[in-house]
Amino acid sequence: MAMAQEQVHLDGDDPEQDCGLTLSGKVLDHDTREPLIGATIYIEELQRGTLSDEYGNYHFHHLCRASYTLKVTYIGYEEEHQSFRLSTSTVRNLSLHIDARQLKQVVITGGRLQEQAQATETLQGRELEETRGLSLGESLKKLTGVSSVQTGPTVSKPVIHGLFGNRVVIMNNGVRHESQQWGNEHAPEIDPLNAQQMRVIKGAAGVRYGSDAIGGIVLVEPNPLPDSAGIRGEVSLIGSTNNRMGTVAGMAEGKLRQLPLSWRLHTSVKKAGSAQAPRYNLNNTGFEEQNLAATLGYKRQRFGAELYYSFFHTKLGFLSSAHIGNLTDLANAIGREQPEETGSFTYTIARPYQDVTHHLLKAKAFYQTGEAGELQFTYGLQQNVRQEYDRHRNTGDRPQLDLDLQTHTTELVWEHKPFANISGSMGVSTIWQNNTYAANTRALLPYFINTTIGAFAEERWRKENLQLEAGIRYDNKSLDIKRWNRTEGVLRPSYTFHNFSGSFGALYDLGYHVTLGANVGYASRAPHAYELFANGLHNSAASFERGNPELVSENAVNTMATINYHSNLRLNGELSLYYNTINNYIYLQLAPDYALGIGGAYLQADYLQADARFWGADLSFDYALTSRLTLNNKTSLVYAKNRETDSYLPFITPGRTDNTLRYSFEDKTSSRLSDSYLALGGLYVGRQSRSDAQSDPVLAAPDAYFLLHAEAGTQLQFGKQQVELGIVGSNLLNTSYRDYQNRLRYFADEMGRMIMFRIKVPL
Amino acid sequence: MNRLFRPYLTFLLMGSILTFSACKDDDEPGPEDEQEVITAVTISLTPTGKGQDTEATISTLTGTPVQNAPLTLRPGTEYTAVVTMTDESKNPVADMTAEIRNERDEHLLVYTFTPDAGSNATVSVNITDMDQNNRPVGLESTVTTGAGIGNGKLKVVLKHQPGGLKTGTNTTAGETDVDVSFNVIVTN
Repeated sequence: MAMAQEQVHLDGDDPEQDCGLTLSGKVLDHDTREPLIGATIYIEELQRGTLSDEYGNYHFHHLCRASYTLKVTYIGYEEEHQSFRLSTSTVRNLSLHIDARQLKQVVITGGRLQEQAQATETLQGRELEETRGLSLGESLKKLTGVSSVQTGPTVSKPVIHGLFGNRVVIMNNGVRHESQQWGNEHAPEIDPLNAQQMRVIKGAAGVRYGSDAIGGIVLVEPNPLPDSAGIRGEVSLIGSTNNRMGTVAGMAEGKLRQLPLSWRLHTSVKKAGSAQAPRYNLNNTGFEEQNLAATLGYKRQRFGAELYYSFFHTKLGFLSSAHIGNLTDLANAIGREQPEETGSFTYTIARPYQDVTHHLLKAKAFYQTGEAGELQFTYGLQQNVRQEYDRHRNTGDRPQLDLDLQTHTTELVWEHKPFANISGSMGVSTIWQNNTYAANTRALLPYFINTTIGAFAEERWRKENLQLEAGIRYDNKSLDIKRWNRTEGVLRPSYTFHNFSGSFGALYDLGYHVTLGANVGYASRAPHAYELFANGLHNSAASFERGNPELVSENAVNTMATINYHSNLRLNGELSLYYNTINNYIYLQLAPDYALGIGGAYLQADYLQADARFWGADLSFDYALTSRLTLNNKTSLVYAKNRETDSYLPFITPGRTDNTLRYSFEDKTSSRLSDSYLALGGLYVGRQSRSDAQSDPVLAAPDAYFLLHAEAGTQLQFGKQQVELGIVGSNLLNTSYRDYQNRLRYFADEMGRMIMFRIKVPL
Repeated sequence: MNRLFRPYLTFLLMGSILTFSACKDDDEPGPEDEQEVITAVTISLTPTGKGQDTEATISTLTGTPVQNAPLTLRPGTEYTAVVTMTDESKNPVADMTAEIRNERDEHLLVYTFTPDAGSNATVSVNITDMDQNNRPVGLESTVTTGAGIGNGKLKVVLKHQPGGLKTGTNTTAGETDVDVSFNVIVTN
């Protein structure tokens, strides 16, 4: 009460106004406490401003007793507003925070503005460039919490928090990538060279792209089309030692002057020979890949449309010695010091190999619905043809497995403009897909037609430091199987699944340096046709895989908490903890009894369901030792357990930590070089100690390993022509090791030392 | 009016692409036909002297391997043995032996006899057919029984040893195509 009176008194027209007051102080950098010279200090009420002097000092004289608002601005720092009452002459120091937008080049953990409560990681810029030449799965391993399931050196599938395959939804340029992702030896058919950034949303995130995203989402995004007229291009050459891989990639893009029409063409061709383990050649592990992508965009203020087509083709060889007949062969292979066929380096790809073609046609349009928001429609047509050529007698040139999957996806989304601090989107989506196999090939996967219709809504409320978000989704999936049976002819079992997905998250900005995020996500995944009806021999595991037609949907409740410490001069980082409860988790378990066939004994692997639990932590941080030298750490831990039997689950990512020391050279105006850096780091992957004879009956988990890696890069200026150069060395000590999540760990060591060179020339 | 209408027209057009392409559903899966599956192994023994011919087949057409009759041998006898392999899932039944013979430089049959506990039976197998490199194949052999009698198991393993893996003596190299054990009775 007294306060209020005083306020009125002071702010009112007081005849006894004291107008001889002084306000002074220093403008400082919040972190270093160094004075900032030449900062602007502005009193909004008086429209009076001044600059800080060479010691960072500022002063205002002849101020009256009143409430003032100071606006302090300085280039490279965030604008600061301070309101206070001046009643006597005061010394007031003003500290400014470095603008993270200016820092983005330096801060590796990403932007300071966290957009959603759920933990995300983005691979872009320099880090993405360092992965050029690697496959999608290998590239994503750069991100904390992401690892990969491998089959030899050529096949790599992303694993998020221990989950992979059908539990990770991959969005390729805005379309759900639909291929035979149930197979652990089926890598995503996407050209990472066409991506400008790859974003990973970790944990159950079913609301936006489909309720089956129990493990998370990978978003592969190409550059947006150019919005200024003219034509430009880019040529990249990548080469490596070890498998002597060579890659040529070219891009041309432009925008017409007369019409709002832009276009882009991207192509890349890769070829690699057999990879080399430190002590021997990995026979028949060469691969080749051809990619083409074309985009045409039309954009007006209110309306726009985009047509995109991409073609992916790969032929990749499999380690020949991993193709085995029965358990005796497996035992022999495990007992061998090295694979029995090592051969010598060659680019030739022999059986066994895979030949995969993927076409994607996308049509997208948006329409601004007045002031209310934007309507987006996306249609995707995909065809995935997977041919696998086994190594048997007298096979001719026919493949043994020849699957053809056609998928049509549509999505209609309405994104509404913020009103009352709420923004969000809602929409419907459909998937229609048809799987067939060529006549006279193996019926590993039956014919099926999958029709999924989903609807979702997600909203976000933001006020001051707090953001709340919630989303809900429903998917109705019907699966019509056509299966041929020797005695009964064609059987037509059919299924309907109802899958819900939901999320609730909160993001709280604790001021300049700390953001807290928490998220609870629910996702539900219907079993895949393979999990229901698999029926066939997997030669590389000497196991006969059998589906289980009784499977039901698996449901995950994933709780995650993230603390982000950002925009600091020295230490920046993020820590997230998660706890994921999956009921009816579907997994492939090797059975204790053998299946006998004419070829002897095989392992039997059955699809089972159990309640499981996944938990773990991701940590990433940067510590600037000096302004040029930075230490970067990425650590992730995953634990998993079968809650019903209290036993370990197979194939879970072992803990890993990667530490890199990076030195950035100063840009000298006299020098032709800029953005030069040098980095040296080590990756340590622990032994999966949470494995036993039950989870891994064939062979115990391999030992821990440590790999040394180094990177360097620079930009060269030749007159007007700029050239980007980079070099990446992995496994520099040529360490012989085996990885728990490589399915070929029974047979051979991993790749040895590899040095990869790249050169990029913008035209 | 026209400006308002145009975007909706585009949506409509895209929708119609969907409907017309989503209606091919008349394919039927045919019988699974994996090439060159061996489903049955037969061993036929003819005594070099006088005596009874004997033959046994192990078939896996029903799932697990089943032997139609025990292989009954006489002690102290030499037999000429021929192994044939067939694919009984085909109609008519396909002979797989010829394929193996064609690629005999990449194949080796390995014979191992194990007497049952308490049995005095002994059986030895000598491969008589050779490949182009003068290495044993094993589709033809001489089987000799010892004087003891009793029961045992004759294991027949067909190894596929491509790419120079075949040495003729290495019995573990390569991929196992067939691994069956015949019940053998050596009796007077």
